[in-house]
Amino acid sequence: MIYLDNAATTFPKPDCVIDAITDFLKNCGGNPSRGGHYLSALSGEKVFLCREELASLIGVDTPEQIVFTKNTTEALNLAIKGILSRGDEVIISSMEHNSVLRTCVDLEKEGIILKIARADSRGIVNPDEVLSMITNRTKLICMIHISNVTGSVNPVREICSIARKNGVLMLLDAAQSGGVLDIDTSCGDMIAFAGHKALYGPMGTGALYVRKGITLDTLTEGGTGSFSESALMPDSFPERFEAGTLNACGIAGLYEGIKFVKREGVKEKEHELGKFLIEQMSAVRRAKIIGSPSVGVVGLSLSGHDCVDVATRLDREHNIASRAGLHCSPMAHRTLGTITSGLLRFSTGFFNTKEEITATAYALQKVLEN
Amino acid sequence: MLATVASSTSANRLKRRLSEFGITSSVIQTPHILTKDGCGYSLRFDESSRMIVEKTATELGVKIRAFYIENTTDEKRVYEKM
Repeated sequence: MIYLDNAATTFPKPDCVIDAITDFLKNCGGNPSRGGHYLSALSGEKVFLCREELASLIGVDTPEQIVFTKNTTEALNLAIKGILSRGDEVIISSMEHNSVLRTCVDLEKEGIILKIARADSRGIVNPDEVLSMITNRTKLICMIHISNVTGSVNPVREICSIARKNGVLMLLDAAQSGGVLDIDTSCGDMIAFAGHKALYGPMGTGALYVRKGITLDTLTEGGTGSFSESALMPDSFPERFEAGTLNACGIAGLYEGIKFVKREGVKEKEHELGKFLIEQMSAVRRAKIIGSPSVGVVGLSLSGHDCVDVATRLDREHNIASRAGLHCSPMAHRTLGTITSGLLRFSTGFFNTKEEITATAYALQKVLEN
Repeated sequence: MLATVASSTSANRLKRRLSEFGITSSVIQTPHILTKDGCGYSLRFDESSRMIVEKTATELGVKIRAFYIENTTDEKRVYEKM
């Protein structure tokens, strides 16, 4: 199997991640922040270590500001719903995933005003356009870092700087960029991560960084293992936002995943493979790269072929995993003019090889010619 | 000696930083008798490290709710607030 659907989730996972999860299930397994026995304390320590590791990845020395979630979508929901209230304006880009679009559209019925900054044909937002949309009611700008459709990269530092100069908060959707691009607090006041993509943790892990001083409403309420006598959620980070039992087993795996990313030079390899993928796919006849990818995510428009049919044939006839359709990002496809046709997407990961990419380009060419 | 804090996250943060200074401590559930508002967590450490614990907590922004000395009297554990 050639797996080129790493933008959906990376596969395979490093052995150290698998070993950490197995070890947790065999030898740890206590519920973190619940009780005081050895296994609970051990589990709590592992969760904390992961918080610390993720904080250091973005150059932050306040690990308690990292809130664990089950995925990026939950992290984005927490940030967006937690900060906005009736009458507030939110600016998003036209390249956003449904994780942002649906959340914001749902909030319109609560009196939130949604504004959409249109990206250009490369899938990139002009910071000046964002600036022109800011009013004194604008509370939040939410921006995707790397498009999951085109692999294009938004100028998020510039947009974040504009946001701050105008007293607006910036939320970064780092689902595709965490582990691939350098990210720090100059990219956002809140940053939503996927643990299971380029941070190489298991599915069911995600996180939200919230800059110290930002107050958010909770998304869920429940037990936190602290201040139990109170009927209200505690104010302290991260407990306020982590009601119920955490996915400690997954977080133990994510901890090893983040260390793997730092240790193995994942970013460098991702960039090298991405460049090679773009080169190889550019040479495929009857396939056209849409947008302006600069990392290992490439969306292809196929002349005379249905993208899902092609993905299915690549899977059945060539054992190649890709992703076709709208990628949960219909607004991005409308922006790019591909809403009717959809796109075929290939996305690389650390374990891919150049040989696999060459074989995929060859197989795609074969499918498109038959 | 015990330092009571808001959560296991705070306790673990303090523990990690103290370990960098060679100070051994452990995260424990706060004895029920010491909690006003339900479950909580504390850091247990040697009394001789109190000053550095306090200083480190201040540097990290970890709020210590109280310090307690642990004693055993008539086979009963008692806590004296400092």
